[in-house]
Amino acid sequence: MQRTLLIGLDGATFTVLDALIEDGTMPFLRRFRLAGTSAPLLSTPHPLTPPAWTSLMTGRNPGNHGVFDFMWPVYQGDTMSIKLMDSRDIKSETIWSLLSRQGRRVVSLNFPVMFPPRPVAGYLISGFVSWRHLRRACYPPSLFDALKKMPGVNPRELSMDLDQEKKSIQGLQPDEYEGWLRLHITRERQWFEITRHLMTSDPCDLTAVLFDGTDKLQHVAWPLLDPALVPTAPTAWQRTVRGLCLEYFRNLDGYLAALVELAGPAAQVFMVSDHGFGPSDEIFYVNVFLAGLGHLHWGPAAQLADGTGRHLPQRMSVQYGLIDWKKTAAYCLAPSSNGIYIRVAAEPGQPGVAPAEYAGFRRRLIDDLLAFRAPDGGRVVTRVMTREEAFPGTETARAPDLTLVLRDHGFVSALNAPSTLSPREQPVGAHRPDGIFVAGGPGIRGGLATPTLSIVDVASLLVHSVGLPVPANFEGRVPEEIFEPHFLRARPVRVGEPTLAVSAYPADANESGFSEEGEAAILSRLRDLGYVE
Amino acid sequence: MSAAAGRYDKDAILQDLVRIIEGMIGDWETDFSGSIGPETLLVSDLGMESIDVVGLVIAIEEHYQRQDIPFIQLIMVDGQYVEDLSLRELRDFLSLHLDR
Repeated sequence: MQRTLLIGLDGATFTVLDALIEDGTMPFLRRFRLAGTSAPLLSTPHPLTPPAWTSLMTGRNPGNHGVFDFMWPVYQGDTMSIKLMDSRDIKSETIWSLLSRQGRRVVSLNFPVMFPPRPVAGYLISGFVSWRHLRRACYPPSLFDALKKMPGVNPRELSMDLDQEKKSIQGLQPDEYEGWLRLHITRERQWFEITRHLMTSDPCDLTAVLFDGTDKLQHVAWPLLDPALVPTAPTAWQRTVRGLCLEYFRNLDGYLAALVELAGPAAQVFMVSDHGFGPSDEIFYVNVFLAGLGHLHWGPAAQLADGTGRHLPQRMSVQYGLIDWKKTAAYCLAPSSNGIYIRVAAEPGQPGVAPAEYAGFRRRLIDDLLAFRAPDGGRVVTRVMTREEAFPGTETARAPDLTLVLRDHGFVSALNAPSTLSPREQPVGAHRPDGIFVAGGPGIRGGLATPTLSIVDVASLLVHSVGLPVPANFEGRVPEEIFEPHFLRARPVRVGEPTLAVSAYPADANESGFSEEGEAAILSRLRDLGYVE
Repeated sequence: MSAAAGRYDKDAILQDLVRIIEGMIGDWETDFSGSIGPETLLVSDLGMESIDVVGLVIAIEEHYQRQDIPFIQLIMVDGQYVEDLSLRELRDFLSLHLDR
C-alpha cells in the first residue's frame, strides 16, 4: 500500500523559502519543489494557527469545526472568563480518526488543538503542550515512556515552554534572541528524531508532523528573513541572529530530505503551511477604539494589565479586571483572533446590547471601523467580516461577531494605550492568507505551479492518497490538476460517506474498536526496539 | 469512578484527585516531598503554574466525563483570580457540582 507523508511548516511562506532556496540554504527543498507541484495555499478567513490547522485536519471550515482562536469567552452572569480551545471543542471528525476507523494507521505529531489526545490507530502527540503535560498528550499513553528511551530524544526539549512562547508575541530583548532561537533549533530536532524513530520502527499509512519553529522565527526575526528587509550592511548582532535563523532553516531542509527519503520513492509527500507571513508596521488598539465609541469601559485594573502576579489562570488575553464587564457591549478578547465580540443582553438590564438592537449596533460598528483613518489619511481597517460571512456553518454562533483585516495584515492589540494607532519601532512578522503547498511522489506532476489551493483541500488529498473515498461533507476538493492523468485513471477520486458526528466517534480508548488491539501491537513493537519494558 | 448509586462521596473524590495529580506531577521533579492530601496547595506546595491548573481542570473533566463543571466559580472570587487552592477546596467544590 502506498504511504503518505504530510510535513506541516507552521506559517511558512514562499516569500522566505524562495529566498532560502535561491541562496542555497535549502537545497533539498529546491529539488523537491522542481520535481513536484507547488501552489499558494489559502488559509481560513482569519489566518491563524488553531482554526487553520483544524481545517486541514477536518476538511471543514471553522464555521463547522468550531475552532476560531486559541480561546473563547465564557460568560457567568456579570463576569466573563476565557476558556482555552482543546480537542473536545472540535465539532468535526479529524482525519486521524477518519483514517483510523477505516483501517489505516496514522502518526500525528505536534498538531495544535489535539490535547487531550483522542484514540487513533497508531500514534499521536498533541502539539503546543508544556513538557509538564506531555505524558498526557501522548496516545497511546505508553508512548511517553517510549519517547524517553529513544536515542536523541529529550521530552523537556520537545514540548512548548509557554514563558518562552509568549516572547514571540511580546517581543524579545536583543540579548534573548540567541537562546530563544537555539531553543527552537533544538525543538525541531526533537520532533524530527521522533518522526524518524516512528517511521523506522513502525511505518504507518499516513505520517504527519508539524514543525512550528518557522512561525516563531518569522514573528520575531522578520526583518532578518524577508528578502526585502534584510540589511545589506548588518550589525554584528544582526549577523549572529540571521546566522541562527539560517541554521534553523538549513537543519529543517535536512529533516525534510531525511523524512522524504525514509518515506521512500513510493510515498506521496505533501508539505504545507497553515498561513503565510508578511511585515506589520503599526499597532491598532481595537479596545481603545471601542472605548472611544463608548462601547467598552476600562476596569479598575486597566493600568495593571501587564502585572505578573501569581494568579492561577493563564494570562494570555484581556485580563478580567482590565475591562468593566458590566458596562461593556463590545470588546476584543485577544489579539490572535482579530475579532470583536458583541455582548447581547440576556435580559433587560443585563450587560450588553438588547437583542433587537444587535443588527443595527453591528452595522454601525462596521461603518465606524471602516471609517477610521490613520494620520496619513489611510484606512486602517480594510475589511470587516461578520461571523455569518466569515464562518458559515453549525458553529457560527461561537465565532467573534466581527473579524477585522488590517491594512498591514497585522494583529490588533487588546490592551489599553494612549492612542488608537501606533507605529512599530521596526516591522514584525504577521500572518498572511497565502501559505505554501508543495507535493511530490508517484502520480504527482513535476515542475508544475498551480493557482491557489484551499487549506481544506489538503484533507481531501490526504484521504485520497491513502486510498479512501473522500467524505461527502468535506468542504475542499481533491485538486486533480496536480496529478498525472494515468494516475488519476488508476486512482479516480471517490466520494464516500460523510464523517461521523463528533458524538459518534470514540472519545477514549475503551470505546475505540481499534485501540485495544492496536495498542497491544504498538507496545509489542516498542518493546522489540527496547523503548518500553 | 467514585460515583456510588449516582452519588460522589468526598473521600472518593479526594482519592481521585490525588491519583490524577500524582499522575500529572510524576515527571516534574518538584521539591514537594510530602504526601498529597486535603491541605496540599496547588501553587505553593506543588509548584503548579497557571497553565498546569488548566491541565488539571481538563484531567478532572476527562476523568468524570463532564465538561459542565463551572470551575470559574472556584478560581475567580469577586472578580479576581484566587492565588492558590487546596485539594480540600477542590474536593468540596467537586462534591457540590458532580451530582448536579
